[in-house]
Amino acid sequence: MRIPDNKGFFGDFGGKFAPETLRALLDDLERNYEKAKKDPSFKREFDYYLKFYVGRPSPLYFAGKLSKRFGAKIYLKREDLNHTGAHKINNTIGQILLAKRMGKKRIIAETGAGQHGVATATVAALFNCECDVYMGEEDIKRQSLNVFRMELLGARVIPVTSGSKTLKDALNEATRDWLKNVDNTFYIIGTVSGFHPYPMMVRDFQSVIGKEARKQILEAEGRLPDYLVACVGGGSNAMGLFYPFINDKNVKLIGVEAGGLGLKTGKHAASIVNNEVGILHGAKTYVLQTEHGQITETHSVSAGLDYPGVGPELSYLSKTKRARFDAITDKEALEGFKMMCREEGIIPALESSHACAYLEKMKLKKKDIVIVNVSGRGDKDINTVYSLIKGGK
Amino acid sequence: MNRMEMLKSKGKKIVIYLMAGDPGIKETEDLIITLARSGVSLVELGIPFSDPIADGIVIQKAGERALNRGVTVKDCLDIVKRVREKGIEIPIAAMTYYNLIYHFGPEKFVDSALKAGLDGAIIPDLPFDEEPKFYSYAKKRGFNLVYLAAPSNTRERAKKIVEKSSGFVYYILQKGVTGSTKSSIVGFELLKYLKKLSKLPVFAGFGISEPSQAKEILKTADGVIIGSAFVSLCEKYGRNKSILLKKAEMFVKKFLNV
Repeated sequence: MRIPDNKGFFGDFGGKFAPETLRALLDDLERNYEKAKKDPSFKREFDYYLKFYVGRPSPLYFAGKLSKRFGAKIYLKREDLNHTGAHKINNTIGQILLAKRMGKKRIIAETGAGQHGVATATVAALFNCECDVYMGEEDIKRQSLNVFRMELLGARVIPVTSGSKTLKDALNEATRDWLKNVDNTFYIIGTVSGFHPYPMMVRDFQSVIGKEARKQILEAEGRLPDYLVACVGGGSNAMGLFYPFINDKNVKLIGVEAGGLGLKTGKHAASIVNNEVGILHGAKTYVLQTEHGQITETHSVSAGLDYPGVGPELSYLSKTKRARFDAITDKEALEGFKMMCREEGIIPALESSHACAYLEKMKLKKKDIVIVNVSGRGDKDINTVYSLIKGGK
Repeated sequence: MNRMEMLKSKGKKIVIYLMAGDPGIKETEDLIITLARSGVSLVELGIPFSDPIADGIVIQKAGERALNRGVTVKDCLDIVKRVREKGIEIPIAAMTYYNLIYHFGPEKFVDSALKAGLDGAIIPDLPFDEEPKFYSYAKKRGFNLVYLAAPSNTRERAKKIVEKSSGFVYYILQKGVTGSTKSSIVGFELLKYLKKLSKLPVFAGFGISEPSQAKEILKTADGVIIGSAFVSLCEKYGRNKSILLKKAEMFVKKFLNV
């Protein structure tokens, strides 16, 4: 079975639940992407920028102190060391190269934590494109440093004041912009969500993470790992790490969602763990919603995970039990954050801290090999963490 | 009986969109009755959704107001039921997003809607080729699914939209969301093509706020759909029901007289 199928479905999930105005564009994007994928010069160009601009491959670092602490071999995939400080840049390089091939000179994007916005603004600057980034007003407040970075890079950050003023609303506004400016604008979606072909395309661009990790762990250990652990908001870093291991059935895939204030409080962003199917932003997937089908306002200490949906392929991996999902609360994530600082001298993004914190919940054996994806660095979260630690919130 | 058949009668049609529950449930009922008596051919009843990606700011805000009042899918069906009980016979179609229907249960939605007296649904994020089971069930039960065609559609796709649509075909006049302020209406060529293809009436909407625009479009389309401009009226006069109903009547008259 081809995943996704030709309608963009991963089993029961995915699709192209898109307004007709976007249809021609999505079909065009799909055709162009398929063509680019087969074109060796596209791959060469993508690889070139990943190597010389992003700084890939990112290291697979053996975390000695964490290994000692948890009694297993813990490796960290260091996406935080990429240019712009997160895995997001892999995908934006891929999509801007595609935009260039399609002759689009205006770029729009949505961002939650700002990492995708920064990565988009970066590639837009690099390739001389006009760039508008939609960002929830709430996220603008908690990620002011990234807003400034985007502005320095020449992007316009457009505050979104509708709904919960976070990532999902930024996605709605970016889609509305796209509907209006469908001829000249390329929408760089930051995660494995949205209308087909985005979930597939973003996964493919991000799968460089897993491809490298696979090669690196084989070199280091001579065998594949027992566990891969990654945080899941929309799910692009998780899909990127997992995808090249999907057929390696002995490698257990673990996605860590944002448990917020706790699953029982309803203030969280754990859509897979919550297990209710819906349709959001063009795809059928697990979606957090009220008893009446309205999309829920989510909560997470990490702006990048604060999203009520998830990429459809991750829903598929959950339903088919190929991957396992669990949630880490804000409090636990903060402990994970501190642990990484003190044990390994790495300040991880609050998103990545969820994955790191999950180590505490794993019952590891001495021979186990674990790869944790450190999807981004934590500079952007310092203000949030400062107020949590110093303010005692 | 299929009330949508009424749309095939001769004469130019005016369709009005209003958001259920804005300004209130009772007001919506009275507005539908007023619209029907004023000569509107079809009422599009918006069911508020938290994430209406195809709607512009006016309808978004109306949806937020309705949701703040706790309006649900069931409330909207009850509105239809009550206006039917009061003898209103013009066709009424719901306009909403697929998540609400999926969550309600697609088949249950069709059955409950028909029972309430709703004639069909317009779902901007559900193209005809997604959810074939829902499509088949609606067709079997005689519940009209009105599909939207856009200026950017290829002729091949437009043809399929016409084939699959029932009740009428909804043509989107411009790139963008509902109520866009850009003055340029695009895609007359495709509108003409749809008219040629379709046995069903073709109604055009998105961005019509003035009777003069309607007059121009009615030279080609069988009807015009007015949404945001009417919703603005509800926002402006929502506090006083009798004024609102009077203004609604006058609004419709202006368009009927073009």
